[in-house]
Amino acid sequence: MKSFKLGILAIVAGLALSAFTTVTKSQPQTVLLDPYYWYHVDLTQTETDGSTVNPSGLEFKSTFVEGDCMDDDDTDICLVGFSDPVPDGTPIPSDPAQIIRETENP
Amino acid sequence: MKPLALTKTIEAISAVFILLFIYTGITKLQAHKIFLITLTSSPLLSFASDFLSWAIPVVELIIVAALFIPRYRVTGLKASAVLMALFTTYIGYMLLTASKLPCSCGGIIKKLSWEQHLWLNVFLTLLALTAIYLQRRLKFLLQ
Repeated sequence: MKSFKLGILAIVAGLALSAFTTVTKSQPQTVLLDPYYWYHVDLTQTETDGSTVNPSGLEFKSTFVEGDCMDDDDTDICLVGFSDPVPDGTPIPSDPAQIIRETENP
Repeated sequence: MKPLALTKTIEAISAVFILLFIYTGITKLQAHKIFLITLTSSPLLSFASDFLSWAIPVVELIIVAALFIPRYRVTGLKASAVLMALFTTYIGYMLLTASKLPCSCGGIIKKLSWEQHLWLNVFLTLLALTAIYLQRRLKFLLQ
């Protein structure tokens, strides 16, 4: 029994940790976890500009927040996301979860 | 090192891996969709993302079972070392070659950067190898 004590403790601790860090469906943060096809925005900040920056597949917002947006004074919205590929000139969405602003970068 | 101290050390290291793999295995299964998408966005693993999204957490939980049962503990430690070595190799490859790194795994570990994750995996791989070595020492002493 002694040799199982540590193992049981480890299993219980692991289960407790995994339960603690689970993201439940009722939490609004799950919306922000949806991956998208991301697009640059034109200078008017109203439409997409060009093709997706991730043509190989859907990617999370966190993939881009730290790297792809240059902080310049002309624009605020850096990238916008869509669940499916969209053509050039598509109006940008209003949902904040689908928008990456330059001010979000560290 | 005395046999009792060796035994306790091996048990402690096994407990570390039980904790680690229970946590990572269950969180991967709980957030399976996210894990699948993460694998799909990986240039190295996307070809087998569907299979790996189930295989990796299942293997982790099987290793937990092996580590828990004293008779299969050595097998569990060897499997742990192999799995950690594979994870370490993957992270190292991604850091060297990927222009854009996808989101890391879930839970507490996702708070680590890819570099930190690499060092953690190197440490855990060495830990598993240490436990295997100590087990051989114990076997020799008990002969």
